[in-house]
Amino acid sequence: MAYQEKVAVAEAVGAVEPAPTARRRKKINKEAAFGLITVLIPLIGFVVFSGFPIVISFIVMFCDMDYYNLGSIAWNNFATFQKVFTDDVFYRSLLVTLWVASAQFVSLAISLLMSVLLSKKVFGSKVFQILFFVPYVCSSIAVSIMWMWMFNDSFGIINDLLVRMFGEGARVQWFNDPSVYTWMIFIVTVWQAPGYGIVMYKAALGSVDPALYEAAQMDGANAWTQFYKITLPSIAPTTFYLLMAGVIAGLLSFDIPKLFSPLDWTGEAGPDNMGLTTVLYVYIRGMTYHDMPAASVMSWVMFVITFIASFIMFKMRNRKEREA
Amino acid sequence: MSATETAVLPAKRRKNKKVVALRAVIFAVLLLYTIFLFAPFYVTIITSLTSVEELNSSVSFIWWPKEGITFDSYKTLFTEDPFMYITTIPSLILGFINTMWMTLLTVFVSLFVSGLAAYSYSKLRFKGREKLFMLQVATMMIPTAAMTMPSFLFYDYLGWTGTVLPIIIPGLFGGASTIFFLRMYFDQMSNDTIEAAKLDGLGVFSIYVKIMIPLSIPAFVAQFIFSFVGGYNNYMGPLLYLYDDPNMWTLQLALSELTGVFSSNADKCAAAVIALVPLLIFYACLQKLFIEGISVGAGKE
Repeated sequence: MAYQEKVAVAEAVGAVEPAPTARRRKKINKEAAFGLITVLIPLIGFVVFSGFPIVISFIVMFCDMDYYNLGSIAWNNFATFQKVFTDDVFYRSLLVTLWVASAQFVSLAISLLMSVLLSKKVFGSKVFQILFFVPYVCSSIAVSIMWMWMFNDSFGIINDLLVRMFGEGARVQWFNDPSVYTWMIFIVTVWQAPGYGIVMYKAALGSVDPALYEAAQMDGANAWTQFYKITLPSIAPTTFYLLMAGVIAGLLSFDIPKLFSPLDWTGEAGPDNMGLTTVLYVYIRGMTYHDMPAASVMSWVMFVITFIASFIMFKMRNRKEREA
Repeated sequence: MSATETAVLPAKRRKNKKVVALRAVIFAVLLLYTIFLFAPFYVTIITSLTSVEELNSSVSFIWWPKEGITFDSYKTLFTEDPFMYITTIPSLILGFINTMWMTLLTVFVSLFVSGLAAYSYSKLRFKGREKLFMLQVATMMIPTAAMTMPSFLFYDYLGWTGTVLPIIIPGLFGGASTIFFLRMYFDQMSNDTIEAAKLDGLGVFSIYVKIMIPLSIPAFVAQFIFSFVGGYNNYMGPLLYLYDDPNMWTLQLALSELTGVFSSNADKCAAAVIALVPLLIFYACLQKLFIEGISVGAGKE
């Protein structure tokens, strides 16, 4: 067979790329243009709707402005930074934020425990898994309404149970006692958040190589050692992903605190501002007081904190993977 | 021979007993957790079915209404809604309609656009493809959610505040995580069908619409479900941009405003139940897809 014939046959069966003819090249160019345009759309969207706001808020941090008028901005020599970083309420909001975000660790532990129990395939475990995801589907607004009623100081079911079990002295003034107030938001978060993690972990547990367990059993490893030495390392990527997503969501917690702690007549969100997360404070400064420079500074603080938190977890994960 | 058998049997039985006991304990823990998860639903539903008078005259929590259950609170929400003065139909119903069209429009377009980008990254050849993909993935590391509030300045500058544009338009450009997820999915698909389609003279766009989408329905469904739930439950966006006009309120916004208007907890609980029911039905119908959708993500991760 002549060389050209061979090429023609190979082309016909799709074995080699045909030689680029003029028409073919034009087609490739068209394809390349199409590809470039379609992948640029999301990137342009990001630049416009995330990039521009980030840049604007960065500039506004260093300026005074009237209301929301960007035309009125004027350099203010770091006055906004001085104001925010000497504001006790801001530090209180950071404390509340960290407190609320720490609920994500508890939520992660519950996710892991429940997924391990579900994977033991006891009676009804399929049904349990379906039920466990329900809170995650519910809107934070409806969830807040439900739990605010449960925590009600006088008529709520929680105080009713506490009083029934331990007498009138056990009644907790959930909405009036600053030392317990933040626990409400913590508990609601722990109630709502694990559903996603349970399903994620369940899938991850299912994909661990069974041969590893068999080998460990031959070596005489007990259940706890197997869990610690095989299960935990195998599901580490899932753990880091869940931790990252959870901590970011926790640090930016807004819906539940907003519903629980509307500003009262003294201008506080919960007793002693114990329901005030930083994002809620940002919202109050920006919307109620039209103070966008302060809102921008505080948003940037949260921006940096969440970025560092996710960056650390990302690095930890990479190191773990290199070790494995 | 028989001596060893009799020695083995009790040990086996003891082990079986232990396994049964362990399973019982696991079942009990799962059951207790279920009770913890569903207690709020019981409380909310029971309270929504208690009459306002009984609730007001009671000194403690009502586990079961003595005067019998009543649907008065639900009626109240649909007949005595003060925002009806502006919205003409009950704000919860209008809110549901608004939520549905805003969410569905954004989610469908976003999925289509994200899928298109994922398809280009996965199946087309062009200069800078992998570099742009790295850039797209890197955007996921930027916590843009922290900037939701300052974005208000940007949309105010565009004159978009008080309109649905800030809720809808940014979503139409697709999302990084969806692109990432769909590209992974497309990468696993063989190129044979695409090559065959090319020979049939199908263009790149037709291949996406007629071949890629139909072959990746599970991946699209998984992404659709989570975008939809996220959009349905979105609160901060509508609160920032649609708060001033009750005609544009979403369901979550209407719900939060109604609970400020109605002082009785029976009415508040009824409002919460109404807002929860559509999504719970959605979940009940598609729960298998929800679970599979997350599991696929876990496998990829």
